Amino acid sequence: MDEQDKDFEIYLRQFHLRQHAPYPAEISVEVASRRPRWVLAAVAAAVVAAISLPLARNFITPDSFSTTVEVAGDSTYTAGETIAAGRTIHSGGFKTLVMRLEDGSQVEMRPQSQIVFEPAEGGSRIRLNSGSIVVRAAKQRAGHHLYVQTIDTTVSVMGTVFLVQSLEQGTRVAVLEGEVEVQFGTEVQKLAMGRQISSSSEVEPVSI
Amino acid sequence: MTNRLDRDSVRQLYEQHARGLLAYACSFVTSFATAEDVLHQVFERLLRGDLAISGAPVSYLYRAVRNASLNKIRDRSPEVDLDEGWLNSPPGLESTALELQSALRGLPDQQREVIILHVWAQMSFEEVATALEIPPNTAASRYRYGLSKLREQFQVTERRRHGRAG
Repeated sequence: MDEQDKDFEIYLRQFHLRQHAPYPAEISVEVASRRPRWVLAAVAAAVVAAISLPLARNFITPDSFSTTVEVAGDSTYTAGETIAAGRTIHSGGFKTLVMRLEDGSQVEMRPQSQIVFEPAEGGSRIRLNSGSIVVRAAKQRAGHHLYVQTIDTTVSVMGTVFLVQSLEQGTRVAVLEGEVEVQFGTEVQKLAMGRQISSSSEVEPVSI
Repeated sequence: MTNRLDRDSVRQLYEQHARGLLAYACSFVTSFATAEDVLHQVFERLLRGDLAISGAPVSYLYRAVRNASLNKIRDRSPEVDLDEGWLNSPPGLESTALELQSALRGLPDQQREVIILHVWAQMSFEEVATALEIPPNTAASRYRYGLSKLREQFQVTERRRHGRAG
């Protein structure tokens, strides 16, 4: 390797591979193996709990403002299950969880993400506690908005496709179709298709 | 001979090799999110017992990531793909990182994967050789050829950029 290549290698090493996600703390994947009877009994009990838990989740706060699991992935939910507003929704360790809202919007939660879906003044709100989601927002009726809120950012939409990532350093919002309104603190700005914005200079831009 | 791994072994493999496997997936797919999907898919199948490991686990995992990446490319939906770069750059060099990734895509697969594993997954040529089931000398020579090509390609891109700026 000549000197130029050596220098170039040093130059390359100032860039770093983005960090991979840690191994998930809980994984709801059933490992195929031979099980003794007591294990089957335990599994049966767990199945009963798994069936009753979603029911309990919905009966504790009966609310017509709910969301339905479309693709469960490796989460603890099942496809078709309804989750009441105000409940924290967790995606699984390795797979995407897809939710359908009552207005037809679709929320794709990436693995190891957490959201809460709830009513908001003038519309409905997805609180993104951690991770990232891609929202395919249905066209909202007049005066009705769908909001996505992270710790430092609120995104307001009428009907579009966009990504919100809640990172340790801040929040990234990228618009794939349509337009959104982004609020950092008191500052509000419109973000058009193909554009992205972040709440902190530490969140680097990505190409869309 | 094939075997299925228990959860602890899968966790251990993830903790030891996730970085290299993710870098390897990045050498095939353009988006970091897709590379993560590939990695997660492989480990999820391992946990389910869908994948029975034949031979050395490490090289088997790299083969599995390669196959899953190629399947992703083949099945990619026509929807808008959010192409997130997989390299973090020093401040001010964000667009350079994207150009670098673009230049890497212009290299032959065999050279690109060795460069990515050696430079960004920080694997030695011996480790790269084990993972990819090639002799260490082959890994080193693919690296040398690839690095020279990448440097030339990258210099052309940089010259064009500076030309435009000037």
